[in-house]
Amino acid sequence: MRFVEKVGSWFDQRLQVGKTVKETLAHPVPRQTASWFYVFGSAALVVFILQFVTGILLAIVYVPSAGEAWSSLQTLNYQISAGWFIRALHGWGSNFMLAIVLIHMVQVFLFGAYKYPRELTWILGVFLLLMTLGMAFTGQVLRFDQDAYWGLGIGSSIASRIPFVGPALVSLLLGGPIIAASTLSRFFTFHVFVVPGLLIGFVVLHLILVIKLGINEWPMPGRIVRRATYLQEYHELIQRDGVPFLPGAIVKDIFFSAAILASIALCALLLGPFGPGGQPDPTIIQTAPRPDFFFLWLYALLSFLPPSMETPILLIGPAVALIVLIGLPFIAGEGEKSWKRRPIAVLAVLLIAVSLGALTHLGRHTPWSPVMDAWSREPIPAQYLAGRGALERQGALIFQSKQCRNCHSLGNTGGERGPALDQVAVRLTQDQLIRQVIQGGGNMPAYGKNLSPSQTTALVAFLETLHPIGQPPARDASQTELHRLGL
Amino acid sequence: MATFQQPGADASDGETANIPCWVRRQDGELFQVFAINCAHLGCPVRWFPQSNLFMCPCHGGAYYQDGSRASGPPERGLFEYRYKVEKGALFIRTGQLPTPGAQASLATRSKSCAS
Repeated sequence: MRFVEKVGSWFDQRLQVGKTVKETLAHPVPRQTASWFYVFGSAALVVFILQFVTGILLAIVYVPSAGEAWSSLQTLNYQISAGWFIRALHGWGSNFMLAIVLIHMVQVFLFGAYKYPRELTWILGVFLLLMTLGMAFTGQVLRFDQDAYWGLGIGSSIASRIPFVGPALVSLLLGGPIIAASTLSRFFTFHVFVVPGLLIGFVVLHLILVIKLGINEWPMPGRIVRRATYLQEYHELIQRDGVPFLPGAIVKDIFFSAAILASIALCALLLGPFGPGGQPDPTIIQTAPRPDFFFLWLYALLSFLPPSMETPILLIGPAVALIVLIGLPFIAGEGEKSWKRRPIAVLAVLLIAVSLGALTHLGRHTPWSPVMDAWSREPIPAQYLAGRGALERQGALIFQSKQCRNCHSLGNTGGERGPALDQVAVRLTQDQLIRQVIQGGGNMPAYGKNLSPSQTTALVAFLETLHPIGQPPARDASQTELHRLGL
Repeated sequence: MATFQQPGADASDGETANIPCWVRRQDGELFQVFAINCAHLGCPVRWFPQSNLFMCPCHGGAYYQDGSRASGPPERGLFEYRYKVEKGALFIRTGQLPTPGAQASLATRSKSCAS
């Protein structure tokens, strides 16, 4: 023990950091901040360290070459002992890190911790969020499978829409004219050197500011932040009711971080690593590319925006979001901190959470995509064929063989791109059905050139039978009147 | 569907150098060569001969057999490669990942050349 002390003091005489470290660890924090609400920042740091360590272990085996990356991941999964587990830890660690960073941000926002004098801490945090998202996206590319390949295509298509510089930016991003070896090398460099380097720098600055400016006190309704008096009030608070960070507040941080690490390990153990999916071979087109969980909301949004709004929203939206996030501490740098007196702040968080949640849910189910194999996989429900004549049954066959089912469901099976047709005859008359089939419209392709007149007749005859028993199909009111008058 | 080798590709590109495209023979030596990438966001479109449509699995874009837009989010028809037929072989002009922005700027350029 004496020897350790001696060595320690030998170093400290030269480095002279011991005093600073001791003071930092024992710096007083407001007693009420030793709370379970204040554990997310430290947990994000711990998961970042886990990502760092597992990332280094993966880089030992991973080959960042378009020709070999995919097979080196197979080697990791199946040939290197515990290789799959390290990949799973890294993959799940990434999901947990993004989730914790987002929760940390929401907590900081709702507790008013971004207000004076912690504006810069918040801004650094915004950049840390962007970098974490950047790591998630570049990491997904390094998994170099089909999803990564086509995901790069989607990223390029979005980037190419930026006026003037778009195409140049795409070739900068891809490192050439197409997605190939230099693309992967570029993303590897970003994921392993550039972004982590920036992350470390920003994390250090973020932490220095947290220690220098003190942890945000527990917000009390009615305790107003004013630039003129805040620093003195905070100082008085920690004099009056402060506890040292070590050992006073750190216990909950340690427990929470340990619980998170255990959860990541459990997920990794039970659910395993993410992919890789199919080989990154562009000629295998029987694939439906999906981004990772945290980008599903964007994927869903891209299918719902009207075409004319898509490019402006894609290009202006992120810029506006960034300006709002960075501008926030300057617009609302003073005033009430407690979320109990900030209804707009609470509603904004709820609105964003519900929107992202709903879009993510839709992104998982993709109701807008045709179900490519519905026409050959899902039979027409028996009750829609029972009692039908030859022409109507022929129409049912055409309905399947012309792949109407890929976009329209019957009996809750089939695509959801177009409306379900179980009761279509109640909505559309015979003439309207014929017109819709031949001309399309309302987001449906026109089938006029693909169907012969007799095929159209049979198809419409079948569609006319699709109405609930006891409810008559739609009739053209003028025709009905003529019929009644015997004309 | 046809596959071509990206010009200038080397071994490190692996299978990413093999790029597919759709070739439609209209009549004799009259062809249309479509890029595999959807004009919306670049996902691979598939040809369905039964309904004579190209369909995209990502956001549900659909195109007619001549490549023109049928429905869904794409703002335009499929990207087309320029081609020539020499001694019974079909050559196409390629080299770049077709994206909405690149195609747009290409069109602008050729327009300014013509004027």
